[in-house]
Amino acid sequence: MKDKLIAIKDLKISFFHENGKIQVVRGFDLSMDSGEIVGILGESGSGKTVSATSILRLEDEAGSIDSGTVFYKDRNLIELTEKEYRKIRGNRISYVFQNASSALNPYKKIGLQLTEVLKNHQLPYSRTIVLDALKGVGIEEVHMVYDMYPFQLSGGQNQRIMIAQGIISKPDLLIADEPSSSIDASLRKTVLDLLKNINQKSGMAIILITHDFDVARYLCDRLIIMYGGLVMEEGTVNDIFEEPLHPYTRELIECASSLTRGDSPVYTLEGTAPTPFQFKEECPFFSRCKYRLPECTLEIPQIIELDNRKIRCVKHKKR
Amino acid sequence: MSDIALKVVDLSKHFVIRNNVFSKKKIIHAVRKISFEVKSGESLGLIGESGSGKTTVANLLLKLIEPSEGRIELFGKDITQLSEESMRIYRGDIQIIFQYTHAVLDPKMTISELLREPLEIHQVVAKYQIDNEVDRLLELVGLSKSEKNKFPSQLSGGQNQRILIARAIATRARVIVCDEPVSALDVSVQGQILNLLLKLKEELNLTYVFITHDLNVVKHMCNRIAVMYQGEIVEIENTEKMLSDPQNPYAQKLIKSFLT
Repeated sequence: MKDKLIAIKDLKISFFHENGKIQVVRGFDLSMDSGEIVGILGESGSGKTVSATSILRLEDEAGSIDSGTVFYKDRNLIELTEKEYRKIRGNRISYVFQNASSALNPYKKIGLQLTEVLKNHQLPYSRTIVLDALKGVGIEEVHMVYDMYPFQLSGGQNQRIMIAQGIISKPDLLIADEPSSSIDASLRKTVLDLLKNINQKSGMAIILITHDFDVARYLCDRLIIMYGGLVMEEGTVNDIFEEPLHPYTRELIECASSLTRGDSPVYTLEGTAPTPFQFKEECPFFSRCKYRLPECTLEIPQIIELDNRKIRCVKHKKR
Repeated sequence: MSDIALKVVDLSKHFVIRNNVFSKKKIIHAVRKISFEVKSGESLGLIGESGSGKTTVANLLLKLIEPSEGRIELFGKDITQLSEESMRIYRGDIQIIFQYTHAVLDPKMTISELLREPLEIHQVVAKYQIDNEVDRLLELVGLSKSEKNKFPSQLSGGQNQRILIARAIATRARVIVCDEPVSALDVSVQGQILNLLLKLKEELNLTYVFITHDLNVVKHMCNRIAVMYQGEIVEIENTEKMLSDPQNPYAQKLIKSFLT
């Protein structure tokens, strides 16, 4: 059997707090091939960022992985030692953070920050390689930018530099956390186009974490919808937007498209999403669901696999 | 007097920047000679990329910064010449809602304290009525009274945004400047806040100046759109006309660049 680029199975992640431990991710599965762009979509607190960062093991002392496996090609990343892991993190798998201005080092010139990535991973480095990387992300006047500090550049430029830093080691996978949310709508498209371009040229896979439907639709091949620390639905972008199966996905798409259509009043989803402190052994969407049944509260519904998509809803068990 | 709520004439703001004591002064023209009018009950959308001067305009309208040139009239009264003291009377008339609630709401004050504050400062109601007024405001923005003794950190982003809105309308403001009020919120919550703003507009006959990145939001909320570029308003037009047939080349580029 051919190994997937990334195969995450039944991942559960907890964080520690003053009164003990709290589980924030209660079931996350993901498998992707190289060259794919997968979007993880969810509201704040749904666990999308924590799930994706688990691939990089960034959660440290504050959190722990309770169970599950994270396979990168044929290696289980959870079992690697930190030393082994460093060969992968930032080299084979990189991360683009949401807020470029706080993720870049304010005291170091752009050129040095990019060179450092190559040095740290014992890759060949030279000024030309760095300049090419900057050119690759659409920076003009690269010679000047090489010697500038992050504060001398605009938010959009810094975001591009973050992306350059992420892809300079030619990783197999780039995890992009809201890469376009801190920049202008007018520049958003160019950043997304850039990611798409790199993906098509080099076959680098991308995991895009976002809460923006338009962004997800524009860039992704496949989508994972998260809610209450669980994967609720998974499918191709077309399937999800054409025929959302899960009530939650349906409501979200209705909210978004009502806003786009300009309805007055806008269609909204009443209530609020549960926080990890409110998680119970039931479907997390139960209280807001239009189609709820008594059995929804019995246990957390199992993921049902249909052809080419997955869904976590009691209603689909019956079919 | 007139039904013009807000009139801005030739408003400019420049900042003088000096990198260090020895370097030359540099003048940055953040806003250059902009003029517009907003009728009472109307909503004007202000769009443009970052650095185009949108937020400077918001700060000018509220007199948080002094204009370099030009005039701002609030219901026919020129507020640019007013002293800090006399401006206080008019400040109740124009209020602002910011994007990041956690930067505005004091984390150590309860919701009821946060709502009492504007009521006390502006002496909106008699002291013995303040408690009732707080309840009324909570109801207006769709929050239950049981939230009264909670702290902002115990509420969700959407609920905190409702508190900000309640604080803005507490002073009986007639003009509200909304600086990206929903861009930090999730899709399902965005709609709730926009609906609330529309409802309040109807009930209280409010006038909005909407600063935003989001074309869907402008489309939804605004009668007219002003496109800003490098401190100038390059085009101002009815929403429908602007979206379907922008004239200015920059406006065309901006509207085209939105994801749809």
